Amino acid sequence: MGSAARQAAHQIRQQLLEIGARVLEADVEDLELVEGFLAVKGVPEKRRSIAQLFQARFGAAVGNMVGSYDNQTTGGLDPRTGKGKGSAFFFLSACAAEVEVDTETGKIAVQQVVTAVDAGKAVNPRQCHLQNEGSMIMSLGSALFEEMVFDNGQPINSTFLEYMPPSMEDHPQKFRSLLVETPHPEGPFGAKGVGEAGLGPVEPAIGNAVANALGGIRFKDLPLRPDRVLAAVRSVRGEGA
Amino acid sequence: MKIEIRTVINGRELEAAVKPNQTLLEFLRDDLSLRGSVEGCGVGVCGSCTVLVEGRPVSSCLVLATNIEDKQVTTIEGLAVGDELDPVQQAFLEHQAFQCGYCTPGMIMATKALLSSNPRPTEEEVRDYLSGNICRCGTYAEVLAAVKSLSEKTTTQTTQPLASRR
Repeated sequence: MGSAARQAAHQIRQQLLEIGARVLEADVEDLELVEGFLAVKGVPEKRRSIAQLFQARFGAAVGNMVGSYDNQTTGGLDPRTGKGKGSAFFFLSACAAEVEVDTETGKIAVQQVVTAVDAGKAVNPRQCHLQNEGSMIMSLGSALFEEMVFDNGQPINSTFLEYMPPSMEDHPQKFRSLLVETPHPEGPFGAKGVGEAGLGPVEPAIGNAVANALGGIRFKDLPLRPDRVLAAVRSVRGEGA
Repeated sequence: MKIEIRTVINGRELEAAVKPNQTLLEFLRDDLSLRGSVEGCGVGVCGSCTVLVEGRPVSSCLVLATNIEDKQVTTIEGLAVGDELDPVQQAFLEHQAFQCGYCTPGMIMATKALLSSNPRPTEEEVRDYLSGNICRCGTYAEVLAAVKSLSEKTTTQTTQPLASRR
């Protein structure tokens, strides 16, 4: 989508140049866009603002200019073998977590998380970090608290009173987000999506950290609720659940 | 049936007729077109609809409009003075303490209440106080940084009683 938007913007730029060529009686190749003005190269006084170009084209300083572009990514699966390039974009991310487990209550506190995401090219690095943080906290929620509970097909925890997303108190004391930039050949400026790219490895990282803290106890169900943790700890110790 | 109330919203005195079962949030949004306060959960646990009544934070989805009779209500719209943002709003902006922005009005009102009762909260106190405001984008670290920056500033900037800022 980013590539399509970029191409569409290029088309609009081209349309502006063509209007400017008529207005300024010059060739498109001799025009340049500088600081919101379209000018003849080498003749900076021969210039028009974008509003003036709209005026010339539409008779008013406002109007619609449409750029469009279909972006078809390459690849696809061979229907006979089922093999091939399944997606133009693969998302790579990594996560490390440090947890504290209270073996008396079964409660898990995530102390520290580091996540890394390959953004291709971070067009807006600040926003990429925020997306990364959001992925971390969302996945932390599904690792520890969030669970849809059904009773005979009826959801029984459908409000925030019973369904607990993480709050500020659950945000790890220490959090670091890392961006790796490996330019993607099919993305605009080498970029690819980072929204939710960091989601994947957070639950396994927390699960591994919990297993490590509990001397190898593995859980096969999420979320890692205190009652599940406590029951597992007690059964390993040989106590009744 | 409607009930006449007199109240003060963002420093403006007004009289209104409200339904007995109308929430404060519905009154603010539907009758007064103050749409900064938003409904998240509707059951008083997400904090998105937080407003201040007599300087104290309340979930406006749980308060009835009739409950604000003769009381002063401050909403997110009442913070900025002209073009000048409230220090809390400014701090949220500077720290980019939001992504989608849905929780932000409630988050800011809760911060306002926190700082007026506790001008220099510790990190633990901030986490505890703001744990009633859910941010699904998870931008908690930035909110924390914004609130910290305010608690480090001189207290006079953030703790003027709301009534005197009108």
